[in-house]
Amino acid sequence: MPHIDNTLPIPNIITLHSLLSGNPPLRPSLRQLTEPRPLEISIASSTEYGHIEVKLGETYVSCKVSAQITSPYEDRPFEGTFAIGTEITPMCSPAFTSGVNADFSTAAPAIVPATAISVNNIDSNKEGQTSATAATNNINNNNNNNNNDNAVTMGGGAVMGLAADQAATEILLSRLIEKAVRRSNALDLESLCIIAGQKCWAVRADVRFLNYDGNLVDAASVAVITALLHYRKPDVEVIGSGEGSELVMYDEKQREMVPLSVLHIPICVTFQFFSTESVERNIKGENANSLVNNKNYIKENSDNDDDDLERMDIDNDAPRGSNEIIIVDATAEEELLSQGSMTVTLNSNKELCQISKSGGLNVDSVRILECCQIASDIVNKWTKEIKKVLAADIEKRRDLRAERVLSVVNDRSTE
Amino acid sequence: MSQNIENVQLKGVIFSPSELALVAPDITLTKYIKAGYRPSLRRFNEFKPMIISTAGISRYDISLLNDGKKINELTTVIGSSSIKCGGTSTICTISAGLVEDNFEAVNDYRMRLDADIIVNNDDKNEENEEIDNILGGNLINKNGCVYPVIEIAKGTTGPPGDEEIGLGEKLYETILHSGLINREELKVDVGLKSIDENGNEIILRGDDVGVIKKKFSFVIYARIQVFGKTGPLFDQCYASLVKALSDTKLPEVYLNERESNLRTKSGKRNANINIQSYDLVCDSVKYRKLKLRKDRICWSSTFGIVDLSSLNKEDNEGDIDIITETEEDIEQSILLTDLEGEAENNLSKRISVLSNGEGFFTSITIEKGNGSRITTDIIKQALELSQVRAKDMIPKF
Amino acid sequence: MSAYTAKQNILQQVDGSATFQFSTTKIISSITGPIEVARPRNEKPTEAFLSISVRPSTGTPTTREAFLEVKLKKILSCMINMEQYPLSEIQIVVQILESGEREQFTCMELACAVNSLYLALLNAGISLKASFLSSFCASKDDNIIVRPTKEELDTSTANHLSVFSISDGKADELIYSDSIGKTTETELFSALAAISSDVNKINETVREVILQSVVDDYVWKF
Repeated sequence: MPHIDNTLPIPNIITLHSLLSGNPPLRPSLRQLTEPRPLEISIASSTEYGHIEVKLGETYVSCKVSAQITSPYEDRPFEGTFAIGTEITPMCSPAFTSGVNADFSTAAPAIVPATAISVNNIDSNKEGQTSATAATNNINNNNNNNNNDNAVTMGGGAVMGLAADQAATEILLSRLIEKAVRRSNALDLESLCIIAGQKCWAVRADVRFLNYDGNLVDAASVAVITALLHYRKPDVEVIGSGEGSELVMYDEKQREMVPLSVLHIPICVTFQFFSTESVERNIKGENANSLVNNKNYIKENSDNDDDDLERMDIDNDAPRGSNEIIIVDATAEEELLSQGSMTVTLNSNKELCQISKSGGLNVDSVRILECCQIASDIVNKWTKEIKKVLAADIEKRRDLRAERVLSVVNDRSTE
Repeated sequence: MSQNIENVQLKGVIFSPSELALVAPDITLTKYIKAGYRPSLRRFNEFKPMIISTAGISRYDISLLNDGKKINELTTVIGSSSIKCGGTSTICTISAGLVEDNFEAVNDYRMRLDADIIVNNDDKNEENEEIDNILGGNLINKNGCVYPVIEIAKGTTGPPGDEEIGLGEKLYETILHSGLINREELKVDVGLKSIDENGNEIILRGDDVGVIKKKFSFVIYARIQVFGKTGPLFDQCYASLVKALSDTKLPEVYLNERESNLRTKSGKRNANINIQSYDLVCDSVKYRKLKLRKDRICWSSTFGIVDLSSLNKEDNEGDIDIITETEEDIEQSILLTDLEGEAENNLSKRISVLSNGEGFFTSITIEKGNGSRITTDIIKQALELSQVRAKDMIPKF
Repeated sequence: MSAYTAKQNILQQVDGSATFQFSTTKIISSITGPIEVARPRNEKPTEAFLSISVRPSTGTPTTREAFLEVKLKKILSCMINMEQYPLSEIQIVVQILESGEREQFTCMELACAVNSLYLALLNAGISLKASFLSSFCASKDDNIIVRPTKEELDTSTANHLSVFSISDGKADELIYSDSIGKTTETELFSALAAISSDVNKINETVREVILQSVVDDYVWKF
């Protein structure tokens, strides 16, 4: 639809924030905090293998797997190669411009006032007022400690969510997928070897991000692994041995295509963290060093305020732990607002393949375990979904093959 | 009122012709065409003279100077050409690489380089026919190609721009699809260099070379440098490429016997594998000429089209007498050959034709651009003119 | 002859999007704009700047995709009312989902891209000079095969691609034409005729697609 602004209007952000920091916290869609959006996996091509489209709510990702024969790396003569291409184009969101200096800078300022709202204020202004006025009130009332918060929170949301600049987002995203699928040995590289040291398969998975509505990582990981499971490579055979050996490749009509050997199904689940307190207080609780750092931000304030803050932080130290709100499968809106994120990769055996939390909001370490438990349930659910789709597709294709065989048999018998 | 008008003084802005061409190319061109000339003072359908020659800088060219014996050892260029056309000079150098004709590229249609050199017409067994199918019937299997890189000297360095990529890719596409080079021509008949009983060097070929199952092909690269760009470059680039290709000589290739059985062990533990390694040697003196398909040699002509309908609007101002010949037909368009200079380069309505002068074309591109309707007449006119030009120029290759 | 399908308005974040499919070739395009020019040096004082990027179905973009971008720019810049968007940028992304042809050919992908871009431009509400559609054909032994399959294309001697503007539901002006391979004058004109009649056919379906998406987008129902 024409002229959708990729930045969120400020009232929206405030609404979102007030919802999330309510008691109990609510998401704009009224979805449970730990409930992902419906996952929709479809096979894009009825004739070709390994082309999968995944929709997670409005997030839309497609993945295409291809393979070709090359020579292996010299130091790894027994292994094939596997590469994942993750390029973000402006197609999925105009915020990702195809240039080096592209960024979400237009979005970042919008976050600032929102994250500065503290729970107490929202509570005090409960139903009577619209959230917009609540925000202004809040800013007016709490001038003394909110001003400095602004300076700190600016970075928090913008850097840790996907709402960072595009180059960083792309690198972060491709590393995550790479770690989740490639480094977790999901694809057995040794099975891709054809002639040791000479010929091997080079498998490539190209992920295309078509529409962005948050949580590209999870959608991409599902797309890649499903495409790998679905892909069939042509059968090859080595004839002869030694110097006279020849490689023969059979096409679909001659021999059935061979699936890749996928050892397990790792799936990423991304959590977004929000703090109902200001970010600054969260950080300050940790130790004295951070206090020194924070002084930089609040330099311009009077000494009075400074002291005030420090005292408060020390006071808040003990009960702070449970202030974070953790949600899974964030939408674009929620990602813009998020103050930190974590991606865990699990398989259906409850094995943790990869965990990545790069800065952002400090989260109680015990809650990470809870996250893993939540993730494990989601992974189980999604794995079932993947298997269901693949099974249905195999059924569909097998029918065609069976018919063909039968028709050949019929032809012979009538002759 | 009339007094007021007298009081207003409009100062005329005067541009020199070159400035006007830069500021308002369309107005400049209109002015010239109305006067019956082009900015270059050529007639509308007059081509620029083009001097085509071999550059004489390839490996085998020195032989002409030195009693046919010596070769230029210092260069690996195996064909070259130099073309001068007005103020534009083009130098094209051809080099080649050897690639193993192998299975590996069969389903690899992403990698043009490899997919293009698979030749399997020799053995007519079933598998190879299958390969033919996978590779794609006639065209791709029969036609060889060249990988050109264009460099337009602009005084700055940097990655190739849109124009350079476009030219290179269009040359590649045209050469491949026109079938100028027979792919069989690029195949390498690998010989085995050996020493016979009498101590003389002999080169074994064909069945004598039993051990080598692998086949090799030449891959041809072209590097085209353009200096002093004044107009569209495709015509000149194509001409220089064809000239250089017709000058190209491919070296004889043989295997060095001593190293043909070389086996190397990989350094890894338990990695007891034999990697076949061939030492391919190109003969430093012996060569064969690269034969091109004569009937596919074409000449490229790019025409710009000026629409007279747009000019007629301004006819009221005068100058009608000069363009009397076109007055009766408002929709008529004028074909300009060999575009040159700012004003003509601005024409986006173009027809580019590659003709062999005998009624065949290997590439026709028609772009309407911002001009008016393209008529059948103008296409026919362009095709005809390109034929005439091709007949004239092709013998000069 | 291969079948074709089209769909408009698939993506939410961009201003306009559409897919177009010629049997095995499938392309999705997106348009964003007019927006602020991302790089100041691309800014044109009198007209819009088109930033076109073509993404291949597998691997990273090569010179082949760059050449497609050059061609698309030529076609689009004379169909969009460029003067209407001075100092702004129209961001165009063409993602090839299924290539459907050998890497040595581009006509299927180009025709498909032109058609999907037409739908996407309409969807984005960009001002156009005229409607336009594209089709392609291959010639072999004096036969013209309109919208050939991959195999037919492989064995052809020449292939032709043309873009026509549409007026009153019929192919009108020739906008762009590209023929490669060994061909003759008569073959060129019969190919142009064949393509223009094919464009008429495609137009019927495309009109329905547009009508449907207009109906779907109509939100002021009572």
